[in-house]
Amino acid sequence: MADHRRALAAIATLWLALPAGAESEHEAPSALVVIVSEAWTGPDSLDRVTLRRLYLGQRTELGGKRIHPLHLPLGSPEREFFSRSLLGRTAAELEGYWIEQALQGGALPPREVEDVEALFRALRADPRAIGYARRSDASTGGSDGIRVIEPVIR
Amino acid sequence: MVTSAGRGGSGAQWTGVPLIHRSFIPIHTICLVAAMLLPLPSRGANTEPAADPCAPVWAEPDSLPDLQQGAHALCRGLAGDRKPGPLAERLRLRLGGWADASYQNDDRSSDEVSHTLDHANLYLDFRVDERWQLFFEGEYEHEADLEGRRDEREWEVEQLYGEYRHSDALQLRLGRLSTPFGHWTPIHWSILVDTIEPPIHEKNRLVPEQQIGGRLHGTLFADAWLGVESEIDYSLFGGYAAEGFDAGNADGATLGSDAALRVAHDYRLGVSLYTQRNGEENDRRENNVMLYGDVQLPFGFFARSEYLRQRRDDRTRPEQVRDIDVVYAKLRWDFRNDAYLNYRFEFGEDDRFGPTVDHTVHRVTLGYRPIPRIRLKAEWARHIYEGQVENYHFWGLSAGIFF
Repeated sequence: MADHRRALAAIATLWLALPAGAESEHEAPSALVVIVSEAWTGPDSLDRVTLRRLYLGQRTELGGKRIHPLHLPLGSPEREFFSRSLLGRTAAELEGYWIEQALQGGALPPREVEDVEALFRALRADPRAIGYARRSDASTGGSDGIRVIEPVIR
Repeated sequence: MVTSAGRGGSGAQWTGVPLIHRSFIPIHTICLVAAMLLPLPSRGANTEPAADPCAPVWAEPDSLPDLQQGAHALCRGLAGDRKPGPLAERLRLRLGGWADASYQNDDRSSDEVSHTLDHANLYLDFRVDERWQLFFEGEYEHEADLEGRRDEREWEVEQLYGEYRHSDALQLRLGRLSTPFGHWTPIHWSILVDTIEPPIHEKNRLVPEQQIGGRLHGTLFADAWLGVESEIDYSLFGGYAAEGFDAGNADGATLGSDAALRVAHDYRLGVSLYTQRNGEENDRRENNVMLYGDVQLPFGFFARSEYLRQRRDDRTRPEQVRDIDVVYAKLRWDFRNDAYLNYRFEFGEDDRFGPTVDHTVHRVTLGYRPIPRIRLKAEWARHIYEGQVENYHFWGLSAGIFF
């Protein structure tokens, strides 16, 4: 019996010591900016609470118009940083949240684009879409037609 | 749904199925757990550049991006991280579901024996456009005891409704829908909740899980009124139950409401009201009030409590009817991103085994999510009754997967 207890204790210790989920190998961004199309007709700034509600599907409209939030790919450092710092959960935890929403016929998750270039294309095509990127990416030549709105997310 | 209240039926009959040892864990549960622990392809593995098949839809500003998102979900649900195909785009569907299996046992001397409970659930979400939605959810449930005396299978439409979304503040849902009463009742799926056994009020089905009727609901953002980040979720609902329109034990018209205030993202306080006639209990009138709340605490702790009072009005036999008070309080500790330890205290009047007696439960659950789509649970509970009902220990294992 004592052997069993020791074995259980060893297994529990090992489990606790294991890393909880894979960490990104990429360097985390120190800050992100919220970006929209030049044709964006929504407010010129968004507070963190409104942004969080939009990305959690708790709020879908601003000024009576439907807003379409966009995500960078799961596993990207920007997505992970955004999820942790603004939404308060890891990207993996948020996946569980969206599964629960789906079972209830609830809110739909933000659409996921493949990379920053795809994000810029999607924003240009939809004046009601909103996304996020590193400030450096948002100020490159490929970001024509894109503008930055606050807040800066740290 | 095969209710727990319906278990333990006496008159056990030998059906010819070989007797299985009480401590035997069913092979399908073991297989499911093993399958879930197998290495799965990384979500990030599929990185080949490909044109976004949703682009034609997305490129039109006045088109329906949510439909396209639904197509994403359809393909991801069925085929990992692939992008949606043209069929999914055309159908504008979100298809998914879950399955779980549990092994449950206790040390009662009665004929309640170890048993398994398996579910398979499928949902179909069709977004006609940004305002209209059709939703279907069906569930298959299989419950069997391991001594071969009972083998119940049931298929049920859990939800089937259409919804019109006017705005965040106003939505109308019509059809068969989950009852928006407190926290647990509308989110009762075994794979979603933290424990294997439900709390007393849910196990005894004091309020039906579904309504056949309508629900007006929405979210009001109250930041400006209260001066702090806050939302009010509200629901007004009514239904009708009769022969052929089954909605739990309700008979005739039902009516209810729910309102919950969430403050600063981490605090929630709600109140629910519900009234019905109970067709299984002499058509007595049942008026229910629930208070519930939860709070996210530091260091990964989370607390929740629900208190239900059911006032029973049976004019033909008032001396035999007692009002019911039931409460639970839980404390969950997320000691890792993918694991938690949950303690739940339950107390209340319980008439599941006949006369109403006080029932206390201490329950400890260990949960593990190796990946977000997989849920594993191990649970132990001590059930204590005042009166003639036998006290017992409960233990169970559960494994579930979303697909």
